[in-house]
Amino acid sequence: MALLEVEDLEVRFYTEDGVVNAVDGVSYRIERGEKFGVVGESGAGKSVTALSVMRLIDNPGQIEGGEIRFKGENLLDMDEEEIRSIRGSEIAMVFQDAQTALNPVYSVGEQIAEAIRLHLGYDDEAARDRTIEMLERVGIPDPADRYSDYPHQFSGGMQQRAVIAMALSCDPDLLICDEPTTALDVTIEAQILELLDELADEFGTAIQLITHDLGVVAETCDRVMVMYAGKPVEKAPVEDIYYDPKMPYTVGLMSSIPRIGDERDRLQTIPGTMPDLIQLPPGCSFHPRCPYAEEVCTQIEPPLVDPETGEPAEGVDAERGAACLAYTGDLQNELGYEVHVEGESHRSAVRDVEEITGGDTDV
Amino acid sequence: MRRIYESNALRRDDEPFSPTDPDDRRWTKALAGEHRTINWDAFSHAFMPGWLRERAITVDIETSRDRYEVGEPVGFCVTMRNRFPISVKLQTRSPVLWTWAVDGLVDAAKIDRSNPTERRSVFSFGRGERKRFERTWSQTIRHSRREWVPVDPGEYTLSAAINVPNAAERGLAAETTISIE
Ligand SMILES: Nc1ncnc2c1ncn2[C@@H]1O[C@H](COP(=O)(O)OP(=O)(O)OP(=O)(O)O)[C@@H](O)[C@H]1O
Ligand code: SF4
Ligand SMILES: [Mg+2]
Repeated sequence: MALLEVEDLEVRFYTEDGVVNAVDGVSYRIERGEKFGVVGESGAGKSVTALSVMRLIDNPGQIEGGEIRFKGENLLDMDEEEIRSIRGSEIAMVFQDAQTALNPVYSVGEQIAEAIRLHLGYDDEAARDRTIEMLERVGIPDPADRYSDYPHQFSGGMQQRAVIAMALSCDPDLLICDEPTTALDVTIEAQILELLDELADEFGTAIQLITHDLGVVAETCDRVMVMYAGKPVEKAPVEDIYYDPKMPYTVGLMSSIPRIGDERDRLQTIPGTMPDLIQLPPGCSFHPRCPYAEEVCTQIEPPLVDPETGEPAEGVDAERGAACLAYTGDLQNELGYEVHVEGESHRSAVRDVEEITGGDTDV
Repeated sequence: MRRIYESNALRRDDEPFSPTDPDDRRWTKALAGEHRTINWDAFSHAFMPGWLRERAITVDIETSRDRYEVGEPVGFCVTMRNRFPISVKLQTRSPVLWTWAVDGLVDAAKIDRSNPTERRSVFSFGRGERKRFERTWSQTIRHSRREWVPVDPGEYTLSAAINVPNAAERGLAAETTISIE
């Protein structure tokens, strides 16, 4: 049994403007100790998926379908008390920016110690000792002195380290990191990711890492799910996604991986923006932006299938899946791109995605 | 785009590992004595009969044009207005507060998702409030979860309704006709 199994998750927001289909049929699993990446542009549903696992979605949001099994138990069937005993101690989360997680009116040390007291039942002194140990472990200098500092006395990178210390202090089995480094500059980002990677190995913690950046995923994760408009559009082991992406959207993301130190907008190479989730275009949600779109793409929504066999790959256990009509036999032309990779490391490699043929773009 | 971290849809409390509330106004509210003032909105709701409440609300639908070429997106706008100077609340059949339809097919789809749950909800209008919603119809009908079929040339009726039973009879719906040629 996998550590986490999310099956056919559906989350909607009921707003006056209409129903936002934020997460629509998302399935994945994470094994113990595994690092699982979730990638996609802003608004794809990454945070809502993660917050659903934490059972932190509230009105007007509703989890309306599916199961979220943690060690075999459906979190969606649990009452608030059961969830509280899991949240923080078995599943912890590092939020998009550290300020969301840290309370400005308590000292950093107190907040971590409080979590330890609450979840591990330590007394005050033991909790303080463990806090200092954790602060040291995440690279905060003079942790005993910094214990009573308030969050605003920490730099952005240090705040995020403190949040990671808090998240790992109770030795969770799963750590969900929601773009833990977007608020930080590139050098600090690299350090924090390295730290996460190292600590996850040391503590045997599984990680669900959410990011805009396929480069980050390539460096850190074992398997990846790419999301677009609330749906999974490609799932694969990281090597496959990197060397052999199958869904045109993933290809677009890949060609926009910057080299280290390159701070240009990472997704600028895919023209257009993600559609409004209240009103998706008919057919493949990606068709208005896809260079290979044909008329059929406006009429049939591609299911997630194994790109080699065309067999359904929507389930929790599917290793490889891509949602494009090229793999269901409905597309007339072929997807014409070629991926060239030079260099050793995923992250520093020079990538070049070349378009050889294109479908009819005026749909 | 609404951001989940900036919205109220994220559960916040004092528990570690749930986000802290950046905007905790409980104290300022108490200090301002808000609990002592009469809530006029609740008051008017309690004393205004249902038929009168419904008379207050008007619904209107307007397309960008009367004629469209085949395949051209049909942009339209739904406007709702509260004609009364007091707030009005209508109970809806589900959390889907209003719907639009093409020839009676909600969301131009043969799969009707307008009442996904039994849960009723409330559509609120402030005093004299006007709400405007924009949509585009792609000239297709959704036949199933994964299949859309383009429509033929001809006349089509676009409608909008507040999600209450018999909305049209109660004056809580509107329609307009376009032609595709
Ligand atoms: N409170 C809310 N009310 C309505 N819609 C919401 C709300 N919160 C989020 N959404 C919608 O849910 C969708 C998914 O949002 P989510 O925050 O999961 O995106 P994301 O992939 O995490 O994006 P980002 O990379 O910007 O963090 C978005 O389209 C967003 O507009
Ligand atoms: S080719 Fe068609 S189905 Fe495939 S990604 Fe592009 S628009 Fe979607
Ligand atoms: Mg997010």
